[in-house]
Amino acid sequence: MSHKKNSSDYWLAKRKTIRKLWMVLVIVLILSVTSDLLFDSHGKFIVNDTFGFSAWFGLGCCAAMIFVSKGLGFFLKRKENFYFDDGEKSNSSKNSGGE
Amino acid sequence: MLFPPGLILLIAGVLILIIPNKNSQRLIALAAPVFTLAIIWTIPENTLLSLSWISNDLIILKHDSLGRLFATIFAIMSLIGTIYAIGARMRRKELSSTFFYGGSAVSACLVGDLITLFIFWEIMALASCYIILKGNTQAATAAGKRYIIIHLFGGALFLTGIAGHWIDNESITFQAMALNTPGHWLILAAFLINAGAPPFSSWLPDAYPESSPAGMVFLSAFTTKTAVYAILRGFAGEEVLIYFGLFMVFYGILWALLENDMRRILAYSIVNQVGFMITGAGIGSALAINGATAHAFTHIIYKALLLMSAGAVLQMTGKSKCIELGGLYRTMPLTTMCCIIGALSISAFPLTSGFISKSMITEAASIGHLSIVWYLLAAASAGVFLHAGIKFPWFVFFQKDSGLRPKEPALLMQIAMIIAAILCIIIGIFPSILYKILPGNIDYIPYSGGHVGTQFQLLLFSGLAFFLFLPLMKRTNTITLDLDYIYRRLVPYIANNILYINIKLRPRIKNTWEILISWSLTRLNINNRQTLKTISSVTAGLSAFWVVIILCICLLVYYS
Repeated sequence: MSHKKNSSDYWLAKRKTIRKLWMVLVIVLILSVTSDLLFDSHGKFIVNDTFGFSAWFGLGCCAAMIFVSKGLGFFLKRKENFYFDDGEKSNSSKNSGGE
Repeated sequence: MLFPPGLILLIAGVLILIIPNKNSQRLIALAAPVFTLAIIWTIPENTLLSLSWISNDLIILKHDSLGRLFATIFAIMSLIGTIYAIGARMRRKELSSTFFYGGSAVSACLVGDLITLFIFWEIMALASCYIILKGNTQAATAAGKRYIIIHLFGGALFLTGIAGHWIDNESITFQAMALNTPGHWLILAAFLINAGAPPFSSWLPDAYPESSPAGMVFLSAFTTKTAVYAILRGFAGEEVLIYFGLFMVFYGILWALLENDMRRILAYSIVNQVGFMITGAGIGSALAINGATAHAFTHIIYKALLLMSAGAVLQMTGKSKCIELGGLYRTMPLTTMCCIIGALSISAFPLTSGFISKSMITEAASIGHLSIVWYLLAAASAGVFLHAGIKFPWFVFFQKDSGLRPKEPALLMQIAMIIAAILCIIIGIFPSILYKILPGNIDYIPYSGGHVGTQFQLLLFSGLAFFLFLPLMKRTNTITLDLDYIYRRLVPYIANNILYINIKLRPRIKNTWEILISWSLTRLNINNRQTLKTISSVTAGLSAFWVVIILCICLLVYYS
């Protein structure tokens, strides 16, 4: 393994590229919502047949899951060596299976 | 001459152990899955092969379309995994055990009675435990012990359930069972334990990530999917499965979102994906059962692809924590590309395999007017993209520059990843390849304008949520408590500090199993540390212990 100093040499790491990717994402997001005008979404229930349902539903559900997991983490997160104080050891030094 | 195809893999496992020449071992390892696949597809459908045992027939080969499909994907996975394992320089004994594991999984799907199924079920447990132990760390040894305890407990439930089924029906034929007897409930419980269902979901993320990079590729494919097969054959349409499945779906997402270890993220993701299949089995319509079957097929390939890319990273960097990784796309472009294809597949992006299988399950919920189930599955689809579709590739291959510049893995590992990636795309573009071999004739078209459009919307806006809330997703050097906390900490704590069980032996008491032994020894007036040590190491004794306890309970239930 070698270490390169200048990590921004790579095209994907350049600010310009990242800005362009965000613009592409926004355009694709808008196009995906407008596709509801072109195709019948075949929603069989009341809510999922509304315009842009999958967009707000996807965004809302993901935001909810992130916040719920954060809340769970508040109660359930422990230090990495929580179970290792009785003789078990961390696997941080694990290598390939081929050794 | 007819013989069970799984035997080829089992024989290959023996040959790999006894033949010293490395090239011959590799030749056998690569030829055996191909030969198995050929045999699976040359045996005529509905073939039966049985042996007489006591007053029953052991149906050692029952070749129908459901079993054939699972056996087919297991043989394909055995081949892809072997190519990868040879590239990863997997040791001979571990490689051999993957053949015992795969061979028993293929055999389990092609038997027609519960006793033979049980035998292969237990061979799978032992072989998979050995693969975990070959992670060669103390953590792997400890996780392997916990794994085998849970699986032998599941095996004991299974055997007791078979006894109950035999008493009730005077038959050991494996067929659809109604949940109207304790025996059938016990059999379902055993199946659900292997599937990673609650309250035993934690065995999977506890044990699998401790295996070697190639070992986890095999582990992800066989145990849980054999359980899905068994549930589809035995208990399809049981409503309770929907609740188990939905719990697994969200448990997998939420715990994966909290996780720092890349392979543990994927382990939680296995529980999540199996949850979709169990929900499909619970819905029980022809479309749902075919959807669950198709999803098991596609899941095995894309999950293997994701784990192969994670294994490649682990092999080349020695690191598996997201916090230590990042920016690997620079020097591992092929691995990154394969990982992205796997991530798109698991997220059910159109033109990938996950899309054509997962959509069958959600469509079945829609057709069955199960609106809450449909909404929950749609939310879970968004969550899958969040935790496995973006989080895993983002934190491993992109995000910050970790400064690591690993090379691509060995050529054979790359070839295995490419094969799996091509399969993900081909099945996604030409779904009829898979639909033709499903157990039932289905009239389902995944690619309609509305369906593709809504799926794009759902996934793209899930991606937007990930980047909008990225600061909240920052990784920390922590673990997340799971239900294994109960038997790793809580029970020993209560026993030691509240019940004061065997104070003299307390320093040696580390887990629930040792507490049970020490309690028994106290009652028998045996107070010998060496005895405790010896008994603790005998897993057969453990199995017998569980069998005796559960058989006693079963006898009480049946004769009360």
